[in-house]
Amino acid sequence: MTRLVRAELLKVRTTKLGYWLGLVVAVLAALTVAGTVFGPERDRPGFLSTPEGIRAVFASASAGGTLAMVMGIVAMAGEWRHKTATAVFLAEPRRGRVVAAKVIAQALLGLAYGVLAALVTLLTAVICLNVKNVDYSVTADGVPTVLVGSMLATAIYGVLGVGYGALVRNQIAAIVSGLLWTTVADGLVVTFLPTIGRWTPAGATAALTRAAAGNNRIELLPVWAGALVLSAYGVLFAAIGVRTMVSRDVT
Amino acid sequence: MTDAFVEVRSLTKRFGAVTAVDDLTFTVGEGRVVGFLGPNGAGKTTTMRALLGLVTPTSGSATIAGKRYAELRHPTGVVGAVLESTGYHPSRSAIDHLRVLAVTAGLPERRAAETLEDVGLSAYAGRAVSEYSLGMKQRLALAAALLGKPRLLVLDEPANGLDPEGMQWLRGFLRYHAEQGGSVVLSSHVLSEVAQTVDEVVIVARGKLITQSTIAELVSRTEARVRVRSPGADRLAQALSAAGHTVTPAVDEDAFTVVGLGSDQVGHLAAELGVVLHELTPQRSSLESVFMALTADPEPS
Repeated sequence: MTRLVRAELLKVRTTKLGYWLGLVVAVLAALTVAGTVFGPERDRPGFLSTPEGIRAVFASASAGGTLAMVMGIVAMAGEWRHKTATAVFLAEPRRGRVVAAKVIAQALLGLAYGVLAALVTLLTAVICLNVKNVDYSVTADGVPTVLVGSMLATAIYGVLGVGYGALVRNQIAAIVSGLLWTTVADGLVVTFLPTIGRWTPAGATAALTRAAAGNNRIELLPVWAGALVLSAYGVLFAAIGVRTMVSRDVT
Repeated sequence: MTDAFVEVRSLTKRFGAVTAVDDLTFTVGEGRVVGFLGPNGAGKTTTMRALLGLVTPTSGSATIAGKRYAELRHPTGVVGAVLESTGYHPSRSAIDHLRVLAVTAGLPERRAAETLEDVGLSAYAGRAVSEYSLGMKQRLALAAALLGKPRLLVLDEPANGLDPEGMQWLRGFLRYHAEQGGSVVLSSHVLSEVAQTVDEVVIVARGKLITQSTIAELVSRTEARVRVRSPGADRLAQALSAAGHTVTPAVDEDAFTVVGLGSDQVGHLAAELGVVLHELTPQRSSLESVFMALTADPEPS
């Protein structure tokens, strides 16, 4: 199993996409922090000075989730796009293990993106909040939970990507529909159908990062429940990935 | 024949309403070089993919050394395959492509460089595969097949994409592999492409087995023919026709071909008739024509 994870990580390291998306993660996290601090203050003036406002700034650490998902999709659907599935399944015919290795490798890559986003967020937030003269502490107001939760969420989005890429074998279709879901649809559900919305991946992520998506403040799940729900999605999608791959004809 | 190393037994594979392989049975002995022949769409690729565990049979089985591919403990050490539509990540280098596969199969990473050397691509190891020519990609696919030092090589239409020089190189390579005691199964839709390389052939058409035989047996199915050139060609041809032999006129006016007779018999008849002969050449119908006749569609289309 270790060798299969090693092979998956080698695949990531020997192509450029992972490095480019890592750069995007860093830039996205920095821009999100700056946007939250210098953009129009949410809901009411002085929002930034509240614990909720501070958490919203640090929730930029979850900016890498979508990109981790894209990497997960590419890891799985890319084997069909580039027709490398044949060679991989000849080298390791126990396909369930190959998919499991992808799940682990993409969780690790997602974690790396999460750590990167958290570091960039910390750095940018410290600078921006000081410029704006906002009082804050990185050890209070639930900020550590937000940072750790963001890293965890980003890792799980990598797993979601692998499962989704197995389900929708067409890489382009999977990426486009996956992005539409995470950037538009999921946010709409959270905003307009909050009772359902808090159970979606975005709702669970919001619970983990203690930042309500959209302007409507919704009743979020507790942190632990958010972690549990998001992990359940991860397990579900990983299982879908293994299941769809095991019996499929490779022609 | 030696013990069956590859055993395809009553293999059937349906894709929806299409039956790609229909109750196919044949064996390949250890150390044999076997041509797997049939027209395009005969089910060769599907059979090979079923043998390699990539396609699940609808019924029947395809085993190597008595086991299904997925049950082999070290599959890459038993079988190496070069299949059509095997892909590469375009921006990954050739050596990295092989390293990924070596690690996946649990083989040492140095096998990547070694197999590239084996197929003569060492000088292009660091190039992205998208810069490779079709022939180079075929060699790279062979390098991937060799990673685990397999006893059996399975090649699907290896001639596609190879120039004559590349094909000659591949023939030499397969001969070397066989001399080392390895087995080879290679598919083709053109018999003449593999006739010099293989010991025996398995011929399929429309998913069914037509025949499994040695090349020598196939040669014995060809017919003796004699090409005759003579100023009295017409008279001689008439006499042969009258005796019940099939005579085909040749392109040149004073010549024809007669089927089913030896040159001595034709010579005797010419002497009896007092006809002068300018040429008397024994020939055989080609292997390819035997192959075509065997695989021809019985229903006229």
